[in-house]
Amino acid sequence: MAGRSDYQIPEKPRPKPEIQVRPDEHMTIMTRNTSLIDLCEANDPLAWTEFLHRYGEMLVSFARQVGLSDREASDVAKATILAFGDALRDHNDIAEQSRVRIKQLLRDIARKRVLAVSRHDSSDGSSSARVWIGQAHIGNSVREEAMFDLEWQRACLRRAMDMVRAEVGDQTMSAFEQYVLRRQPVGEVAQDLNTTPTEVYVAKTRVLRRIQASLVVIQAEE
Amino acid sequence: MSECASSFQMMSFARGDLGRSATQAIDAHIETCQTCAAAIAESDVHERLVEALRESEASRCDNENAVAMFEAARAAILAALLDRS
Ligand SMILES: [Zn+2]
Repeated sequence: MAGRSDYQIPEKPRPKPEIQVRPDEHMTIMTRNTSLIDLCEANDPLAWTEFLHRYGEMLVSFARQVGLSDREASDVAKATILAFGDALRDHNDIAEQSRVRIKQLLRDIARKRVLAVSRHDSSDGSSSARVWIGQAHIGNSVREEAMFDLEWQRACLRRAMDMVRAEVGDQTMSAFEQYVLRRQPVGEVAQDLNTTPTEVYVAKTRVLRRIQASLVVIQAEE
Repeated sequence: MSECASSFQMMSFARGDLGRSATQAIDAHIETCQTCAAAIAESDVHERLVEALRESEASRCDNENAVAMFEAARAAILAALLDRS
């Protein structure tokens, strides 16, 4: 159903890339992220699972930021991802251009979906879009793009955290979360985790250095 | 490294500007020296990153309900995506 895609791209027939992945190769490929979109295009369930994990929350957050209700934001994220799936299936060249276009594509589709929801919501009074009428940013392209970029950056940070979480031990991550993210005093964290202040300090330094390294990898993919 | 590093070395370490052997030496040193471990951890080298991480976590709390609704629909979304090929 080509008509379901929000994002229209001129037809440019190209041979579909041949992707053959053994089950045990998935994690390696996911970690390297050489071809998440290629794998989504090949309808790989794990690739789509990763896609939902990577972009679902940020799309929900974006829709909330521009003024939609919880339910509407969830629906917009769902509709955006399904429309992206349609666009990917209908236009093979998206996979080839994904490194530069995935963010732009998701942003354009999400903005259209937000607009559609806010227009549809006109009478029942349930939408926060109306409650927030003075503050909502729907239709303001500059604000919407800035908000999308912010949510995109936050998604990159969360992904970097996930990558680091998989590399360091639970104790290190807990120390980091308590001391750095929740600003608990170092002595309190050390006591809580039955460790020393030195280890808490080291956890902070190591996790931050790894997050920075992960962000370099993530940004290189964009 | 048994002796404490200079503050310049420590900040270079925190920024990731040191070579591999110097990095490893300081990395080993801070495991046993609370003074250096604290000096590096409490420096403002990563201040912007830390602020961004805190903001990201805070926004996560703000959108908890909406994300939970999305997560509840995750299996159906995945099925719809796979069904469309
Ligand atoms: Zn020292």
